[in-house]
Amino acid sequence: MDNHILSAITFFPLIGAVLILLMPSKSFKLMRWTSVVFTGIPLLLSVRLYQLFSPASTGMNQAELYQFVEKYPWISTFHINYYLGVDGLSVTMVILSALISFIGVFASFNIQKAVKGYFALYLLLATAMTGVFLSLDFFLFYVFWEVMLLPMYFLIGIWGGPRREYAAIKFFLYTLFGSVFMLLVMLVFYFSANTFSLVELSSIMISKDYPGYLNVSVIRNAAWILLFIGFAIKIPVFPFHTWLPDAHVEAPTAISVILAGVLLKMGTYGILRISYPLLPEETMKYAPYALGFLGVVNIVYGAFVAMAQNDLKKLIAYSSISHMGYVMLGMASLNVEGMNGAIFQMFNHGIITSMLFILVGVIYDRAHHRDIHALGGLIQQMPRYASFTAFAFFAGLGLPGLSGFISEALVFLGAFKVYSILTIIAASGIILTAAYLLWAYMRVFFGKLHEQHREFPDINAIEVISILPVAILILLLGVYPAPYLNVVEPTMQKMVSIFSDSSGLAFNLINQMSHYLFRG
Amino acid sequence: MPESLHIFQITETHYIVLSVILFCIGTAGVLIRRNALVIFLCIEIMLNAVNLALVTFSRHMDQNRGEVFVFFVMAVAAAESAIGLSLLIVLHRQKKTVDVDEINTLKG
Amino acid sequence: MTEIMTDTISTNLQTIISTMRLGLLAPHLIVSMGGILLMLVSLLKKAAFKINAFLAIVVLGIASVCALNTGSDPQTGFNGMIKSDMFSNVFIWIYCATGIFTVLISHKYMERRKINVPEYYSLLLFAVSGLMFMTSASDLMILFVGLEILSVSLFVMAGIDIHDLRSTEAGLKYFLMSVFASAFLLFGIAFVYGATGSTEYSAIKDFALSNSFGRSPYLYAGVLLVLGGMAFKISAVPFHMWTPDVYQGAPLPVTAFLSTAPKIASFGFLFKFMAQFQNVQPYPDLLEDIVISLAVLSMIVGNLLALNQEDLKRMLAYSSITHMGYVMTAFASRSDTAISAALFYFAAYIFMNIGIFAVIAVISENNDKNLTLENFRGMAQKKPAMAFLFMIFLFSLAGIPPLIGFAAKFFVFSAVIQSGLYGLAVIGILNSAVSAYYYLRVVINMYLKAPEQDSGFDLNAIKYGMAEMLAITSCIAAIIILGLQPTSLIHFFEKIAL
Repeated sequence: MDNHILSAITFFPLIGAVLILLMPSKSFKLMRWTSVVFTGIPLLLSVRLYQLFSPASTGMNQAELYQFVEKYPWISTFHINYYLGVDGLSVTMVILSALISFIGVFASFNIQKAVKGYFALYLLLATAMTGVFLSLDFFLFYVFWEVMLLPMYFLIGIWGGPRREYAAIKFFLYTLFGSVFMLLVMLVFYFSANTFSLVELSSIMISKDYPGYLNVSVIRNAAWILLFIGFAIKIPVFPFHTWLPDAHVEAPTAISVILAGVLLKMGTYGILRISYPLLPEETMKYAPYALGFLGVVNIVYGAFVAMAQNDLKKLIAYSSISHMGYVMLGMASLNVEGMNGAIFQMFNHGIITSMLFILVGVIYDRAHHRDIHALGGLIQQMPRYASFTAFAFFAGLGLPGLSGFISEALVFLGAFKVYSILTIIAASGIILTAAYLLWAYMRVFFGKLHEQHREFPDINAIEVISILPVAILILLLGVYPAPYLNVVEPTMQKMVSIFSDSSGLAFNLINQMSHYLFRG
Repeated sequence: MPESLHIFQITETHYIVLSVILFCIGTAGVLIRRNALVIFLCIEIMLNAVNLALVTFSRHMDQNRGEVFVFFVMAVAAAESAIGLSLLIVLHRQKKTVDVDEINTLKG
Repeated sequence: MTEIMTDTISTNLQTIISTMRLGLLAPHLIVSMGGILLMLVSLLKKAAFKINAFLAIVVLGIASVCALNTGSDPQTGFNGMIKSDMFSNVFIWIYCATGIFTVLISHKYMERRKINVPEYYSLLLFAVSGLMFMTSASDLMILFVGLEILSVSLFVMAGIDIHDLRSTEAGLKYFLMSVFASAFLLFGIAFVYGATGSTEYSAIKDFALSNSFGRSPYLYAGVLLVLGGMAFKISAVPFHMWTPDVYQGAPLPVTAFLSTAPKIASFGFLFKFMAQFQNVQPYPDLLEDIVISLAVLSMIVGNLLALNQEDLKRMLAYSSITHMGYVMTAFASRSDTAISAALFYFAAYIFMNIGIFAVIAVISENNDKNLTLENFRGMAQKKPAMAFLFMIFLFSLAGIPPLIGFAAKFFVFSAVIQSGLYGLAVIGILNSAVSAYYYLRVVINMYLKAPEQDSGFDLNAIKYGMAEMLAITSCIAAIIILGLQPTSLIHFFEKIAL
């Protein structure tokens, strides 16, 4: 098994999907537990993967530094391989996606409509997500990326809320347009270097011995920007973000969890896996603006819009936009602290937001609405629920002792070295986050309990099962983050090393302005 | 031969020009006329313009390939008119018109 | 004296027959003989429709096996009028496959519509033989004859439902536009002949190599006219006006055939004919620009018109214009990779298009009206299996991996980028993203909308015939298997050179 552990993690859910399709359509229980098993096995396997993983596998441009590599020819005409492998960057993402898929199944236990189709699509989605994080072949990456689109589209479009159709199409078209740009860049890379292997491509590109069309600097710049747009839509970065609130609001709870927990990470993962090692020079050039500045815009804009929301789920959706801003800011810093923080923030945001969405789902199942103003005083009725929510909200606002704090702190540490002013603005985002989360908490749990809410049962066992592992993880990593950071750090060090001359890195606009201001 | 007649010496270019003119007349007819039968006649004019060109080239190059081709064109045109006219008759039976503007059951 | 005469005549005859090399035409002859045979069987009246369907499949099967026999080395016969090589063999297989699929989806549909005239199948066989002649031709005269055999059969097939005004109208419109286009093609051929003194491809090539285009306006005009005439057949924008009407009006199986094989044959001819000018220096800019603009216009206009189309058949008609636009981009890039990519695209297009029309033929079982997108509301609840298959076809057409439509587009755009036509590739890829929208509209209706109560269209009444299901399942299998593993097929096509 250990030789093919990556394939096993990727394709186990798919086997489950096939099995579910073969089941009689009324046996809901069987389907649910099949899904639990077929997401549980990959989770166990990914824990095993973590055990076996040696942090010295720093990947990047050296094929021998990837672990558990599986490489078989697929479409030989185009030198396309089925090429999987992990380094420090992807191993944590695989664990994240396995974990989130697993707890998402519990959050889907209350699905009543077309259960068979739901779980089949859900498991297909799990396979595609894991595939994206494991692919070391650009083409394979693209295929998984696209395959992911379809189940997501149906999961939102069929099992979603009242405006599900609109949300599903919007999601589909945004993402499709993003991936079209990616396809274009992929082809340019192939026809220049004659390979789709990300490993080979990065070693070629890092050596600065640009082959073919890539010798033209305009093409490299265009490639970076197109790739960025493709990934930015997924993150989502400020001007491309409008699909996210719609999708979140309409999606069923488990799908919101997957969306926020894993899908958003694919954008930043893609930038780290593809843009950074393949186009280092351009990354240096654009990171301050595209990632640093827009990251801060994300943080502040997301927080402000979240503050204005009445819909609890929309609030969390905008808080996601805000939190992904920290990831971008950390990535833009191009130093070890910032990058570590960014990767850690990706993981933390994944687990914390999943928890938040599940908790929102809990209240929605009871009240059938999510209007903050219409709720109140729930702390009397649902004390256990209130304490879990308090925990999740504190994790979300970065309370010390919980994992979100560490990643945000690392991001600020790294970013301050490079973009001092931007980081100060970004830090104000923490205050805004605290403000909107605490406000929301106050309105939902304190005050007068509404009559019709008197019958609400407290959080039940299935719901607790789905958040407990996450909560424990948040606490553990908040107190002792080393198990995570030790795995990631060597890879990040190596990635930073390609940006040898990062002294010139700065967000010029603001730095120059501040320079001017303080001098005169 | 008197000098004046040399002005009217007819070369193959004249035939080709005539053929182009005929072809254009046919094309214009297809585009302007609305009666399916007349449109069909205009297409026949176009085909005959082609025949004229083929014969001219063939004669000019002193070979018979073009002339053979003309027979093919004529035979095919005959087959086509058989089919076309029968389609027209079927249509006329149902719709009592051969005006292409009134034949508009198909719409998106 | 007379003995010597008869001797020379007989030796002459022998040389004529030996240069004819009938073996090269085996598939063509089998199919056209089959057509005549089916005409005779049609006299049996009652059972003839069934027998003919069976015989047509047998004949097409034998013909495709015969194409194996001619071997992969290029051979010319009939004094250079026919050239048989791997390229034309591949097309013969494509035509036979299309023909067989068409028979499979025709049978039940035609019976239901009470247009089960047995001659239909013999017309189909004649059409297929015409297609074969078109791509095997190495002389414009044969090309023209093949094209007309095809067209004349198709006029009748499109208008075969003489009790339905829509079918007659489609037949007549197809007839007028097609003959109009043939006139342009012929005029072009006349000019090419006038310039080069021959209608043989090789002679035209020799002439073009020794005299550049610039010095021979007749050749230039002729090639442009041939291109224009063929653009009609391919329904490239701006020569596309007939397409939606004919698609909508013709009986469904005929539309399925019409939307695939003749377009592929026209491209086959264009690839073969324009390859003669491959090495002409300098390659005329105007010609290149025209092909590129045909491709761009077809992709963009086809997509735009499809976006808001409510009638399913019309939507597919516009989308087929877009698909031919993609192939046109491969044609514009004039490289060997582009040819293999285009061949792959044709194979993919056959499976997707025939499959989708087969599904529609099943669905429109008891519906005499036009099929609109609204008719598909809630289909996923009523007919989950059929809706699922339909969705796979739509996604494949939209080019979503890992289905064959994606692989096909990938190969085509790769070839285009390889030839350095970045702009064209960008336009193509963007268009393929836009096209996802209207394919998705059908999926939305099937999956996301509640079924309509009194649309006068009963999805529950749908019954599947064996033959149709065979066609659908084999198309689905091909779409998925070749989508996941296109290597062997594209390898095979790569070995084919012109």
